[in-house]
Amino acid sequence: MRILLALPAALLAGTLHAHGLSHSAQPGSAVIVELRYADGSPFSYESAEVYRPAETVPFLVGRTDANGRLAFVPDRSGDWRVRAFSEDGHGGDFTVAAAPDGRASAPSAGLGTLGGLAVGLAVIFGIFGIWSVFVWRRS
Amino acid sequence: MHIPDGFLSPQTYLPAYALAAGGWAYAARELRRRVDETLLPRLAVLTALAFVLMAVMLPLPGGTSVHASGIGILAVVFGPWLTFAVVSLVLLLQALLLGAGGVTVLPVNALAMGLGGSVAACLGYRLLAPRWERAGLFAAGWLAAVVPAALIAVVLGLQPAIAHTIDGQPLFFPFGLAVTLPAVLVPHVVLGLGEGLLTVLVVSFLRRR
Repeated sequence: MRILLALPAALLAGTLHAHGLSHSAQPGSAVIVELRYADGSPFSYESAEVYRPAETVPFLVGRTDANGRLAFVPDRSGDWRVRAFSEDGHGGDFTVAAAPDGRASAPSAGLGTLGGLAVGLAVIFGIFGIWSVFVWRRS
Repeated sequence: MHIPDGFLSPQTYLPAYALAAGGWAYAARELRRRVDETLLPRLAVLTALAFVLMAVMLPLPGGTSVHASGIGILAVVFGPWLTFAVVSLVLLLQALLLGAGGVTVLPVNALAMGLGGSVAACLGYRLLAPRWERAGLFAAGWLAAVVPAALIAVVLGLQPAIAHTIDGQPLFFPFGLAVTLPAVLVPHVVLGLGEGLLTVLVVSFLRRR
């Protein structure tokens, strides 16, 4: 009789236990990617995906936080792909070189806005200036 | 307004490259035909203005940001083909130097902004300017902001239907037309008011010179 009562109780206990969700806070290193608009304001609460190197199934799907940040804990080394989208077409698709110990390096930020503007203006005036010289000589 | 790299499928940007290449060839011929000592300095200054305007992001309520383009000004002063040529140059420089837009998506951005925006601006201007010059200039600026936004919203919104996995997951930009049309258009309808005003001010200033 006891066995008959104990058996469903054990099964029920196992089922109940399966609905539990353990949690732990682990000290460790995550890669934090910060996304900002060109004016410096955070790319907040937007859709984002992270992919393991050379994989097409997302490793993480979620949203950026209020500060436009996204964190993931890499479990292998390589170029991790990060994609972020807003509904109005802003966002990016880039890779971050990351390793399980948290070391990460994003692609170089390049010239920066002011440097890029200066070089762009120089190129525009350079092209039209040289062209003007040719047109002036021809005429 | 620029679509970034990685948002569009090759089924979208490869045909766009073919279409834009034809447009660039025609625009180059038009440039060679019209070029003289007076055109080039004006074209250089207004191209530089467009480059700077497109780099200055204006934050809007709701967490998004927009930028003016100067396309209405270029279209009224030089017509659509020269505008298409110089806006393509600006977009290429923005992709390479500022990380705005991208090289794969360049023809889509160029066709939407440089050609779609400038053709709409010229039509609006020609329709209204004979009766009321300033209304024509304002319409040119407003249309140069709103029409490219509508074209870009359609291209983005079609991506889930164009490129997806067997189970329907989008491979590129994930939101459909019902999301992109209001999300892209509404801020640009507001931005268009500023672009229209800028077009009136700059073109009126240039004509007084």
